[in-house]
Amino acid sequence: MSSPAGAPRSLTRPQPEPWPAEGDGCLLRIRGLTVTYGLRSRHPVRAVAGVSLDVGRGRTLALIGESGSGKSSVARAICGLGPVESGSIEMDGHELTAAADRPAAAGERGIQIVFQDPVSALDPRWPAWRSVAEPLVRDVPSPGDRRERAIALLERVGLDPSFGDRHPHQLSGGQRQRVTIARALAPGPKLVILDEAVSALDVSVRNEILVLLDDLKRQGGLTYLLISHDMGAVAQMATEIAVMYLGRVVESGEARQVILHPVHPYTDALLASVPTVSGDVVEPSFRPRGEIGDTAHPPPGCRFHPRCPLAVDVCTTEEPAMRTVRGRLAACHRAEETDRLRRVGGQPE
Amino acid sequence: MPVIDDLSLQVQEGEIVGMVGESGSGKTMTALAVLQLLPRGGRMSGSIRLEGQELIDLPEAEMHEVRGARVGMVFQEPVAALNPVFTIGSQLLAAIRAHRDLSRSETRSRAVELLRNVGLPEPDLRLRQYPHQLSGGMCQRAMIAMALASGARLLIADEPTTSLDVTIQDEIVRLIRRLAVESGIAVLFISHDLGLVSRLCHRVAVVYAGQVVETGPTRTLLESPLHPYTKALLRCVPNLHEVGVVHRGIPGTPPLPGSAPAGCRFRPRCEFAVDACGAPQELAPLADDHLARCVRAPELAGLRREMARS
Repeated sequence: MSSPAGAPRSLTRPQPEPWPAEGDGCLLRIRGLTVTYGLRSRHPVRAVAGVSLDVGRGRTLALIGESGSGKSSVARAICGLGPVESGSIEMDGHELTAAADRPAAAGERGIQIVFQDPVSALDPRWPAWRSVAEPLVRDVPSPGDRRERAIALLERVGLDPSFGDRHPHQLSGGQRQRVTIARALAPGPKLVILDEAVSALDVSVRNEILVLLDDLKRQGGLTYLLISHDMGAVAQMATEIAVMYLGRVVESGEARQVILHPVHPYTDALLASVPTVSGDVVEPSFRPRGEIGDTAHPPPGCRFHPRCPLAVDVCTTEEPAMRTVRGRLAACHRAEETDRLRRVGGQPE
Repeated sequence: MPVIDDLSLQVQEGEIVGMVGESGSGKTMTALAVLQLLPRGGRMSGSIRLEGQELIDLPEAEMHEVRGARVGMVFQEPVAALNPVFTIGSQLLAAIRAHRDLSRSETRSRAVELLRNVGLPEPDLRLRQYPHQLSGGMCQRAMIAMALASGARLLIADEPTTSLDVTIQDEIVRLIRRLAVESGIAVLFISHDLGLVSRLCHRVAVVYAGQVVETGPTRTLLESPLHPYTKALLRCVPNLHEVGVVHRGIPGTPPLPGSAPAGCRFRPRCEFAVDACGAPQELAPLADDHLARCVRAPELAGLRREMARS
């Protein structure tokens, strides 16, 4: 895995084994995934730097982080819609990165994706049933059969069959997102990637779609990779969480552990920024300084150190290794101390 | 068709009032009505007073002076609201000069002061930069600086943080709070996010289908919501203490403008609806400064108290 000439001088050290997949074995297995845009240009940008993830069958792994953290690049790499510089993506034991037609390979192995914006995801000229039936063109030759299958899928996502003949402009935002979910379900996927699939929706519609996704999963056979900055959706849906910052996973583990007792200062800051109505205004124990750094020029040492209120000398020079701390994985030099600091409620010296 | 109807709101100096509702509830129309920027064909009646002065039927020339000089507005997409071909500096300087006669150097130092006031680091550099060279959060800070450039006393912020990351959203919210506290600016904060509003606002007005359905001090409204819609909205707010529970929120969707049912507009979606809800609903006080547009509000509040006691 040598970097080609011109790639950013790497701080990349493939991260060790990720948080192990729970559930009925590992469905998606990512090892040392590195995504670089503009490899042949003068200024290549490494968006993902050696990320390893396991998604267990029947589970929901949430990948969270700010824009620029690389979470969407991971999603696009899995679907074959974005470049992969190095690393491995195995779906159900089949390597996807080596395929000649990566999007087709991802589809064949049972991966589908739902995007944030249902307006641009649907063809405005097509009635809803035709959009839903599109992925079936190859396997179901008769248009009549395809239509029937599409109508059944629309019913499965809670839309009356009469919606099949409506065009996107005749549908509300929530109904459109239901149609894109029906389309993702059409080929009978094992893994559905939800790339900010509820982020653009109104509160009550968003809740409606979350309930639908939860119901679909309970009916069996589905695994989700939830890409989101919406911590409310993550808390409701996720069984495991991986937190990304500037192309690296900085903390990962069981959802309850990560949300209720974050170890990495970045996870803590991210969660503390979420407005809840649990009572008083909560002052986070750690507040990050400034904004997410430049992916093209990640800082040396811990990538979060310029914003971290806990940073000490070692954080500026040495990249922290991922290690097990209090029942999850975290990459922070001061991980053992953060819990104590939070309980004391004081900022460190 | 009426988009907003019988809507009353008050914002005091230094006070932040939140207006919460879903898309199509009339939040943005209210903001545009204050500035008389309604879409073509839009008409309004009622009264809009700014520092005691009636704005409805004010001649356009005077209204122009109100916009910008006395009321500032920021929108959801800061990057789209800025002109990509001009530097931050030229847009900000133009905003300052629009309503004030200042010399070149005075304008410039005022611009630097404004950018510093909204927490933009290296203001001199920012003035020379184009919008695409700034992050979304920085653009929104620049927009707020522009909205306040001529000394506006009222800031209308329409979903100013919706397209931003949570950490940046938090910073913008703290900036708005600081501006209200330090400079006594009145803020009308429009959002669909009750969690965000509760973090920032002194008072909240919940709007549904063009009507205020509940209004009161933030704490009161959160602790003892009266209207079933407010309660349902509260259930949709992230609760990070309950991991792995998908809450069943509000069934159905809000009515389209003009197609709201007679009587209580929330009735078709309300779990407490009875026959009496078919009659028009008044916004009635249940406690000091706490009003709800629900005929069953007193009864439901009583039930809750009883349940709390037992």
